[in-house]
Amino acid sequence: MGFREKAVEVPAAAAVLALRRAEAQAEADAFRSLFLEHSGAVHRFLKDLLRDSTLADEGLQETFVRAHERLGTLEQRDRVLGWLLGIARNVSLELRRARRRDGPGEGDLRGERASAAPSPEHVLLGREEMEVVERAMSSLSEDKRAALLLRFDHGLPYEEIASTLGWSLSKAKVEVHRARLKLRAALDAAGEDDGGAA
Amino acid sequence: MSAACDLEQLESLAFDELPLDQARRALEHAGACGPCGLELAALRRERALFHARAAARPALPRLELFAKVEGAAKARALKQRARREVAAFALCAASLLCVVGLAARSAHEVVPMSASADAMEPCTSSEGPGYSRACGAVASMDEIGSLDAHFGACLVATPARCR
Repeated sequence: MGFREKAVEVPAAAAVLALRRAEAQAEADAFRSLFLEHSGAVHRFLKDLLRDSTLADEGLQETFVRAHERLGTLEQRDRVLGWLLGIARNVSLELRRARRRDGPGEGDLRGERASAAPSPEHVLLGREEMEVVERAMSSLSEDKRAALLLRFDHGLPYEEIASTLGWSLSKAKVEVHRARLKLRAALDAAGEDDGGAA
Repeated sequence: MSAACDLEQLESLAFDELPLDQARRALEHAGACGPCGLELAALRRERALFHARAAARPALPRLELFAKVEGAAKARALKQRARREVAAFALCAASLLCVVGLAARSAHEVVPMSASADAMEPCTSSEGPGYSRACGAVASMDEIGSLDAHFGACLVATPARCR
């Protein structure tokens, strides 16, 4: 009887072990594909919020480390980008607070120097138009900037923006609308200046 | 703008979020309505601007970054596991200490009750002797015996004997 029980137990334990290994491997693969697919968007979002490449790199790592911890809590797989950007926003707020506490560091100076030189996107899009966008973006509050980026850059629907930022649906709509009006006014004014100059 | 103008629908149209038939109707309306046509054009321009801006960003060294993230995630998982294990060990140790402490205390408590004659009254229960205010206080067996004889009541020595 005891022998028979042992004979059954050993393959069962091996199967459980193999199953666990397979699950861990599947989880690692899922995390890898998640990173490869969304790291660009998350980094862009962080860089737009923090306006500092070094901090954005740091934020990207922290965002995905947290995402790795909480991967099991992700309920709607089709909303993964919104979920990641929500984590990224919290990370950006923490980094910003830490930067404020520690005072301007080397990263900020680097960021300032970088903004003085034309970035690749400036060259491709036309420096003036990009500068208008950047100026308009930096004049927005952090909340409005995040909302505008989530809608226009990352194409999230309003429901997802609201849940990502922890807002009501109507607040998400109002904030995006106000931010867009500011951006549009800046673009229109720049267009008129160009027309006047021509 | 008229009652038929729907700015939210125009935005959904610019973001390709409308079903085909609704998109066709909204497009027809924007073609016929001047302000809606302008709004749609502005929305599309802004969206295109953000797309171009995103596309112009230099590509990240993603594999290199992933190696760093993976390492950091593993390190944090190990750290958290170690923290959980320390917490579990501390909990076990505390529980064990409690058990040992309780056992030592009960071993020393030959007679856990005490009573002072001033704080007692004779038993007046209709159920007969067996209950007293002495229950719950600490006393020696001798003291209980003398109190018992003095008050004519059953002065209990342990909670198990309290009725």
